Amino acid sequence: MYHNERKKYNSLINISNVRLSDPVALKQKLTELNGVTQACGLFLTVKQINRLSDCVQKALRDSDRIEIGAGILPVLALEFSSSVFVTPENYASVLEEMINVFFQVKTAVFDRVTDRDLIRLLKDYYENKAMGSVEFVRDRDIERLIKYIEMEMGSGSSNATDVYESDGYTDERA
Amino acid sequence: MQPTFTNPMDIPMSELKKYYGNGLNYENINFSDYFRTLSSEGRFCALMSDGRFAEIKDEISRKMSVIISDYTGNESTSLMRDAANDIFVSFLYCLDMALFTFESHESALEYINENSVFTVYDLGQSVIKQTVFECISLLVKARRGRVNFSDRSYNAIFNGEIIEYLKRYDSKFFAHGTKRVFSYNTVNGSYAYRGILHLKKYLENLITENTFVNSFDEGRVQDLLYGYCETNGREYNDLGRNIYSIVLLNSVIASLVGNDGLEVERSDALHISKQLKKLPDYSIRKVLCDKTSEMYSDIYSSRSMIKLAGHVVNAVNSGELNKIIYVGEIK
Repeated sequence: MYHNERKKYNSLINISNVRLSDPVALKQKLTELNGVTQACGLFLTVKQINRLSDCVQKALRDSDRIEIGAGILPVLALEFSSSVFVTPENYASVLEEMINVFFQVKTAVFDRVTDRDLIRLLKDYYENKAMGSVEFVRDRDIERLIKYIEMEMGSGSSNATDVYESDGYTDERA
Repeated sequence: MQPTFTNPMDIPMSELKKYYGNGLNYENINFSDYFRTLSSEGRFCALMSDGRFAEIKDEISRKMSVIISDYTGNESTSLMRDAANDIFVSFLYCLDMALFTFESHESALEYINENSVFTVYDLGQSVIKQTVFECISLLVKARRGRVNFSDRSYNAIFNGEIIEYLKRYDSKFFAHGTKRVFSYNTVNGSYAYRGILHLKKYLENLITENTFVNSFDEGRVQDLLYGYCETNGREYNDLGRNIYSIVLLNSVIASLVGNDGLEVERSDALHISKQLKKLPDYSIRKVLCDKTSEMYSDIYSSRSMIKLAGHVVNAVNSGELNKIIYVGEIK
């Protein structure tokens, strides 16, 4: 009993319960972003913002990562809001999927790519190769995407286009 | 009488002490996890208010965010949990280093009650920096007292290993270090220590060992070590054992057979082996430890013999005393 009590006290200062991410700041930033994206007809409701905030937490858990402050979602949202494939109907779901992909890829490449570069590459891939299909990126292309980013970041950057255009890449919807 | 403060955060430490007394249970405080165990114990004994404890957690979160931002060079808002964990342990190590400067647990607890985590962290960083300087001067001292012998592992620590360690030492993100194993080990390990304290203890041990060995004639020590290499089929640059341990054991066993200095001749070795074999293991240990205490008053030698006695017991039982000391005439 006494030892359990002591254990409880010791576990109170622990990396798992040190609050690094700030969901309140995230929600605040997404709300503010609505003011910018509204011009393109894109708007996140309170319900969608709450759901996205939960998605970030889940994505972080799944990819074994820790985030600080408001995190990357507002930056990702701003970048993707300018995509021609993002519409008011799919805006929230695209963000939901892309935040998952973002953390998965970031972990897979051992953080060797900066947030901004990764977002740029993700958007490029999403628009030019997946032709606006998040399902393609998520279900089929994630390994290819990781290879592409590794080449882009590594010494073999000249081969990056090979992965893009190689072997079997065909736009199945074409 | 219970203090009459309405908000627990307003209760000063002195009032808490007056009411609860000084109730820290030292057994619950662990030096290798000092900040956490001390603050937890403080809270458990009501020497730290719940409000202050919550503040500490909040301050830790804020400071960790700043450190992580520095770590990623502000280029990433997230990092892998393992990396974050290392940074967190490093951060706690830094807090521990600050608290080690206090004379008692109570004064350390008072300091964290009255100062923010940011202040404690800054103090920790300056203590670490100070310890790095201490290590550099200890290294210079150890180098000056270096034993003149060709052993590769021993010389490697002076010829770059320690300097390399200091160069790579990262007080911000990896202050706790891993317990870096140098190619040469001292008899008394420094494994209970982490980070820069590990190096400091290692150097202190090394200086003690060098001083001991240098108290004997340099030529005799060299001949002893060369002799050890020859009888054990080792290259002169690959002794394979700690220099101090051979010198200490030779001197103690030589004394047991009635010789001054370091020499243990074959007949002496045979005689002492026979005598010791008659005794149970614990008595052999006792004989060795008592003799060491009688010969050398320093605690390091006594501690070393407690460790080395086990090797002597094994060597005596297997009739291979020459594996741990040099048996023969020192030319």
